[in-house]
Amino acid sequence: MRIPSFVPMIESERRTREWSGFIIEILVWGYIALVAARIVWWNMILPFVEGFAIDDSPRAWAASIVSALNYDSRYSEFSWTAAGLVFAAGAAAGIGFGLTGRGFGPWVASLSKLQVNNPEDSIRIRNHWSLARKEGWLVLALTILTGWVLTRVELGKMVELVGLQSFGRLVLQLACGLPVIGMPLSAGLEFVLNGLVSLTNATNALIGSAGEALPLFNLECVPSDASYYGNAVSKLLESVYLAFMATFFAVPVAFVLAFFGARNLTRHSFATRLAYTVVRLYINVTRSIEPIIWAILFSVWIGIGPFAGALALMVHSISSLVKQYSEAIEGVDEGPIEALEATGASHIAVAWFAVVPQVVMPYLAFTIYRWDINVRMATIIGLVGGGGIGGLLIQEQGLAHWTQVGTLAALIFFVVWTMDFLSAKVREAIQ
Amino acid sequence: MFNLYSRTVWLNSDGNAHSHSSTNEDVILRLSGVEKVYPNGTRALKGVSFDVPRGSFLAVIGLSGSGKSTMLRCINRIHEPTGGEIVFNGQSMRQLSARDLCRVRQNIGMVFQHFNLIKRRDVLTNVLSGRLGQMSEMPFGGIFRKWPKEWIDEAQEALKLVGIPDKAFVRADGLSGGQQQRVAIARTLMQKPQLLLADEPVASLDPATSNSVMQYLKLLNEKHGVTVICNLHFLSLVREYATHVVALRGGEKVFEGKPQDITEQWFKDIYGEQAKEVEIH
Repeated sequence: MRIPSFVPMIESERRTREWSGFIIEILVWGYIALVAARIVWWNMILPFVEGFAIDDSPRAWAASIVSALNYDSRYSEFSWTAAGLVFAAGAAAGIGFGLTGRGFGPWVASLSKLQVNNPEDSIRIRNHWSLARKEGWLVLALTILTGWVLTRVELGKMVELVGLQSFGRLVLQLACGLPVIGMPLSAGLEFVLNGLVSLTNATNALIGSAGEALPLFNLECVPSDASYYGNAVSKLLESVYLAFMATFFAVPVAFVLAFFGARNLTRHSFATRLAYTVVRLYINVTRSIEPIIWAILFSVWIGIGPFAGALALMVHSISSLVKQYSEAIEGVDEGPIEALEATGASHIAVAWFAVVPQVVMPYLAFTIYRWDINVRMATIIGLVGGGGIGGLLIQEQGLAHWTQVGTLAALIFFVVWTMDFLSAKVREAIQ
Repeated sequence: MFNLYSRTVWLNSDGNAHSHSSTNEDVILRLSGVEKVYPNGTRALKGVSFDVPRGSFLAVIGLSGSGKSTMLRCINRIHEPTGGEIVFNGQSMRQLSARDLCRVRQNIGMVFQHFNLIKRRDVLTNVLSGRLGQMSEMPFGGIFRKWPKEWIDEAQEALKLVGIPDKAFVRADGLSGGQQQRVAIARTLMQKPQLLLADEPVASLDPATSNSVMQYLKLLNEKHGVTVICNLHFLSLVREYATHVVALRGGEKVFEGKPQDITEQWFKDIYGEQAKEVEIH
């Protein structure tokens, strides 16, 4: 488990890093074994073999394997005991690899900013980590495989005709709902899609494939009327103002908290280090709870409506802004801070005179972007009773009024587009 | 004549070695065995000791990375020293509480190689920020206070003194390097320090501007009685302006004496055998 001395790291940490490398190595091999058994063997190889066993012309070897393992993809379960045993076996291999000090774990643990000075050492390091590289690729490959299995990727389904037809019908109705261009657009789309359908039917007839001919699309487009637009636009404005309120009141709170959330301003005393930890904990907890959950919490608390939505967005905006603001603070030039500290200025004065002027521009950009995000988020918030256009959207979608859904989506799109255009202009102007 | 490998040979003006404690001059700053180990394990200072007489112009020379900047920053505890003792005006710097440190720092000015101005603020605000120390006792560090009228007048005076009175309302990043350094000096003038720490104040300036900036430091030293500790690279500047010299190498003091005592051999000892002196006027 020793990491050779030509791998650069701070000497006082070498011992700790060797141990953590050893432990990571054990975990990595446990993971490799577990994934290999659960995903590759259980989810891929065994069903494949089983396929041969229950085929129209079953193969004896496959049947014997399946019966020997008592495997049936419908009923068999991968037990926790099996998982534990496999992991333990992998971990045992990991101990073996870990003892050599050459694997992926020690490599991860050895990473540091320190650079090698002489070229010979860099070659020795390259050779030393050859196993680590292979192990790294193996872990990546197994992880992609696992992801593929767990997300149930089935590319075949994307070209099934039944699904495509339903998709086409929905798209036509959504297109019909677009303001002004809705009717001609859906008519044009229908024409193109019907062309494709006829082509498919003709091809099927030509190659003599079985089955009925596909029906043509036939949509009766009834666009939303003026009174519907009136209602939708007023709901949309509700969302925009809701987003504005949430952003506006989040900014001053985030502005103050950001100073305590920046590492470079909170190093000097125990109290500030504690404040840093508390602020970071707060923003990470509130940020990891989605705004939609906050909206549910607030609408239970103060009742369904835009106010609950605004509060939900505000809580989320505060933590996101604190994160972005404090990272801007961490990136400032330390020079003016040193200069003002040297004059004997207090920490608050240093923050105000040396830090704030440097972060005003990034703050402005972050804030406009946050408003932009909040407008989009406000529509989602509406889905759970946070007011605004989202409520209308979920209602229409529930009634399968796809034309109206198309109308609402188009309206939201216009607002988002305008916001994006404006924020780009503002960012350009303030650089 | 002297032992090249001795780290602590002390020289007075006639070149004789003498011991640390025998100096009777009024000492404004005394460093004894100052050490600095950075968190990543780098030992930047390995026990540096010397005295700074009041009213002197002390030049600190040495290669880049020899610990000059670290040493200056340890004096006013911008970087916290990890060992040794620093006594300023008879007061131990390392034992000061945070509040007392603010008070003591008001007497120690600092100028930097990269000027360290607040770039997006006008020159006047930059100059006035030298007085922030005096606001540190006020609620919120005085950030909600307006600058007193007298201070603004003084700041204008300071700008006049460094020759850029017309730049008061220009944003600091709109000035040339030499002008920015003069703003930094005006900021220090506002602070009215007893001791000025100058960290390579002319290293990023052209020779002509360098000389004018050094002239202002000399003015502060001679007319305003400010003791100056200045990190420098060019020996010609050291000979012209400094009254005392300390040389660092690898975090240790290798020379202390008068500028005229730096012989060719000393020069090689400080800068390495390959070094050749370049002139700057």
